This record gives sequence, structure tokens and C-alpha cells, in this order.
Amino acid sequence: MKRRKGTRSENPMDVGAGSKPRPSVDAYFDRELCPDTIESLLDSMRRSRTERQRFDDTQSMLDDLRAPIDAPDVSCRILGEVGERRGWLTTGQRRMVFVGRLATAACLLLVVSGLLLVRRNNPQAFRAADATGPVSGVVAATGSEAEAGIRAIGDQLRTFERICEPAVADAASSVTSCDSLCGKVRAVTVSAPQDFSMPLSPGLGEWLGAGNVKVVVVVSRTAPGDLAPAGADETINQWMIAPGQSFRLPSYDAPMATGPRQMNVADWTTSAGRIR
Amino acid sequence: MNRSAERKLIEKAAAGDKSAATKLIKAHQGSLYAYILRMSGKPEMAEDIVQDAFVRVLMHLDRFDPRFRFSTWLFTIAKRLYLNANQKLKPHYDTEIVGGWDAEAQSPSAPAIRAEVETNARGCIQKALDSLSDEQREVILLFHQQNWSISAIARHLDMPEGTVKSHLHRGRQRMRRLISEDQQQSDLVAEVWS
Repeated sequence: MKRRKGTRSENPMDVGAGSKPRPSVDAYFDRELCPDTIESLLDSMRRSRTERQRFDDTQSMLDDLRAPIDAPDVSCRILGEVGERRGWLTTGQRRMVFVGRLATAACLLLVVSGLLLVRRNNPQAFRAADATGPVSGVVAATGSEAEAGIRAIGDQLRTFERICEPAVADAASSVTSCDSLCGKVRAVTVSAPQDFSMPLSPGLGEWLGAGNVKVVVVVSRTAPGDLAPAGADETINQWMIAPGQSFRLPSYDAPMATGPRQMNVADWTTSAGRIR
Repeated sequence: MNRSAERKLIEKAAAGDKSAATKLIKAHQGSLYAYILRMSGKPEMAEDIVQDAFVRVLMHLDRFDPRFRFSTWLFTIAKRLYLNANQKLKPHYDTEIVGGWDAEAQSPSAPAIRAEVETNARGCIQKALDSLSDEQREVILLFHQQNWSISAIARHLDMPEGTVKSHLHRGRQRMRRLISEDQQQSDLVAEVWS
């Protein structure tokens, strides 16, 4: 078989022409020879001076290579640098860390075994649902919950209305009723908007001036077209004015166009269903 | 130090035990220094690399894979640091200025300077080692100086065992020849002076 250039035989024995195989010096330095073969190598070296010279040279070279080197002790510098970066722990501190880990593991074990115990005694405890239900059921449940919530808010608003009603009663005679739309909006219903003039009474003014309270004037006529975005078909409309302001409504057709103290068109709103 | 004792030391050092870390350093710093010194021929560089390698290893002891030997890990990190340091120290020449000059002849490792440096600072062995290729030098050092097995070197250098053996034989042969020539020259000089 043709051998590649530069490679050597895996066999640690050199075979000379017409002679029996003998172990090579390289195989010895490769630590590939067993004690018997080493003996054979030594025999061959006794017979060949060149072989022995080669062996001695290599051995001497490798001895020099293995000769101990006086290495400087850098342990202090290393420990100092590592100590600066991550710090060293004393025996007590390491024990505390160990105890802490042990305690954490014990807690976890306790929790897991507790859960297992509960599950064993009451297998139903961890079951989310017996069977899957249709989404419509969930939606229906959500609807009823929302309705209940709104009802609760309505109750609160009614309570608020009862508190406010006496103040509204002192206002202009044309005001027929009052309602609270939400926490900061008041509604005053008037029956004849054309002649409605509402200088706010001290009592009502105080009430209206609290926070961002606005007055909503409600009239029982169709709103003019230029008061968008009001719905033209609404039978009850509302105008909101700033707190503490009085307003005049001489006629239904031109109440909002004049004067800074008139109603703010941007605040126009229609939520007739919420107004009594 | 056997492997189980070494593993215990590593665990303790990873937990923050300073004395365990000291024992680990003391156990390996000599061989690592000798290896890097023989690789680089520069004592200062070897010292810096030993320190840096140990700091890196001790900072990341939790990442140590106990399937491998600690020394293998340490030597791998040290070798990477050596290669990085060697790369940084490599002289850079402006090719436009140097033109067709022989960079090797003009570099700080030019024969005249190198001979002086080597005569003063390095022994005959170091000179012979320096004449080897990087692979040959590393294989020779790991096998003969650090007593690693052929298979361990093959794994460490990621090369077939046959290639490791080939580097070993050629490196040894080259070193032997150089040392022999050097010896002959020294003998001749001694003869002339006498």
C-alpha cells in the first residue's frame, strides 16, 4: 500500500531489511512501548552507537524541556483581583448561604407536598371546570354582570340626586326638574326655552361651581340644525355651560350665537334617555 | 491532585472559599507558567497571561464542566489569551513605506537581534522551540512538558490523533537537529578560543 508523504507507520516497530522487527526510539518517546519492548529497544541500542546517540540526544532535550521553571507566585494578585470583582466569603457566610438554599428547597418541597396532599384528599380542588361551555354562555354572564354594575352606579346617582334636589328647587321657577347625569354634570329641565332666563341663585351657583360641574339645560323642542352634533330628531336637547355662568335663552333659534357667556356649542350633547 | 479532590476544591472556590481558590492556583500556576513561557519565550507575558487566565477561570467557576479536567479548561483559556496577546504584539508595517523590503529581515525578530536576545534570555531549548510551527510547539509542550496524552491533545487542539503524532515526531526531530547543530557550533567556538 502506498503511504502518504510525511506520515509514519502506526507500528511502533521499525523493520529493517532482512532483520527482525525492532522498536523505534520515537515509539519509546511516544510512550507506546510496553516494558518488554523497551527492553528490546535497549538491546538494540547497545548494538548500535548511532541509535544510542539519537536516544541520548532526545532524552537530554526532553529532560531540559521538563526542567522545572522558577515560576513567580501570582496567587495574591489573582485572589486580590477576584476578591475585588466578586468577593470572598468566610466560612460562616458560606454556611449561611448553604442554610438559605436548604431552607428555600425545604419550603418548595413543603409547598409541593402540600399541594399533592390537597389533591389526594380532594381531587376536585384543582379542576378548573367539569366541561367546556359555549362562548355565548360566557357572554351572557358578562352581560348580566355589566347590567348589575350599571344598576349599582344608577343607585349611587339617585342618591346624589336626592342630595342635590333641594338646591335646584331654589333656582328659577321655570326649572321643572333636575337630574344628575354623572358625577360632575347636572341637568336642569326647562319647559319654555324661549323665555327662559336663569340667573343662578347663590345656592345653585355654589353647587354648580364645585369642580368641573356643568349645567345642562334641557329643552323640549327640536334642536336647531347648526348645533351639530346634536341629533335633529331628538325631542329633548341639552346645552352645557361652564360652572358659575348664567345664561339667557330668549328664543330657541338664536340663543347660542351671541355673548361669551352663552352656551358652548362644543359641549352640545344629547342623551335624552338619561334626562328626566 | 486527583480529580475528586480537585472537584471539591472547585466547588468550594465557586462558593467563595478563598483558601480553596488558593490551593487551585498553587496547584496549576507553575505548569501553566512554564507552558506559556515556553510558548511565548517572554516571562512578563507568561506572568500576565497566567494571572488573567486564573482570574477568568475563578470568576466563572460555576460554568466549569466536571466531565473535563480543570487543567484542560485553564490551558485552553490561557492559550486563547496568549494568541490574543501575540496578535496585539505582532508588529505592523506600512506596506507603502516598506515597499519591497524583506519584512522578516527588518522586523524586531531579525536574525541579528533575535540571536542576541536569544543568547541572553533564552536557552538552547527555547531557541529550538521557537523554530517550530505553532502546532508543533504546542504539541511538544503539552505531550512532553505537561504529560498530556495524545488523545487529550487531539481533543484540545481539535485535530486527529495521527496529525498530533506527526507534529510530535517532526517537532522532536527538528528540535534535536537544531540542538545538535548548536552544540557543534559551541564546541567549534570553544575549540578556536582554546
